[in-house]
Amino acid sequence: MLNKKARVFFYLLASYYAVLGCSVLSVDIVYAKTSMTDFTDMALERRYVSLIQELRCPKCQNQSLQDSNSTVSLDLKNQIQRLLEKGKSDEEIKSYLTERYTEYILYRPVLGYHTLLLWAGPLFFVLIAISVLLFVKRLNGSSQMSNKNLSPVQPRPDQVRLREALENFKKE
Amino acid sequence: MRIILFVPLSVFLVITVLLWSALEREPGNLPSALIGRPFPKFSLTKLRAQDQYLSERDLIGAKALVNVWGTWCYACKFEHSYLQKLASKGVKIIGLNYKDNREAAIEWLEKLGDPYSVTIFDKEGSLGLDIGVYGAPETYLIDAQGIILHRRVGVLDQKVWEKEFSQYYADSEG
Repeated sequence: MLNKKARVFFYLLASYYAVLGCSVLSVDIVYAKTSMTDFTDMALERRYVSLIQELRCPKCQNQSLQDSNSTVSLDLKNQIQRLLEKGKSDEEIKSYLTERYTEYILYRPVLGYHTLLLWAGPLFFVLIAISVLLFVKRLNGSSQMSNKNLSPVQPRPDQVRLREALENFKKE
Repeated sequence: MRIILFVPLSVFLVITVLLWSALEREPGNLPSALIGRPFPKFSLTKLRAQDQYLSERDLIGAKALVNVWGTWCYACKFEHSYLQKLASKGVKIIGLNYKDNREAAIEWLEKLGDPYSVTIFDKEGSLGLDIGVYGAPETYLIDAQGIILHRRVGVLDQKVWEKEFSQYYADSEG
């Protein structure tokens, strides 16, 4: 018989999978909605979907073209479809839109001096985190050292042998 | 060595100032990609004459506003009386009737008055797309050579005029 804690755990697990399942379902619905375009070429349609997912609606800021039903988004989606059918590459379509709507429209920002903070920012924060960690570790290390001095522990014989081996290795 | 203890605090302060200043910004105001660039090429009919074509060359000659509007746009109605006031003061305004119905648009101008020296009829919104329109009303300021100097998204009223446009007209009128 399962105890109470285990049962709660399995309930949580089940509801987690239920939520996950629902979200996958909703993705499918969204995909079905956007694929109501009249592409004859499946490869073009795939490129179309990935483009409208990473281009931003000029009117609504926090939505991609795919999510948005504003008139301007519908116009842009139609225009993207036309350009794809004309044989334009993804890059050409993106620059076509950037010329008109600025880099604002790209959800994946270009790498440049004006976006350096954006790209290098996370690295900068990770470096801060690492240096803080190292600093704290060093502080802890030195306090442990002083603790050891207060109550010396006899090293185990294998540690002694290891240390000796290392010393010999260094001498060579 | 002690100084290093102030690093987290100063980093925190820098980030706070950065984010705080960003709160003041209006992310809804897209910059125009066309500032400092010539008005894009187009060939569209006049609103009031189906058989007469206009092109970007017809915009050259005098400083002018290009106002994007449509009868479907509620805020455009709101803006209309101010545009008429500007026009009566001698400001040249070119209309860009965007994704609209020709008859309805002509009727609107008959009823409310016509502040535009000429109106371009852009039924499909192709010129709108080329200048990066994402909502009406929008107003572009172009100089006598047809270079776009400024763009305003949203209603143009006295306040906006004084803040964003009047400086360009300082030499010509008061």
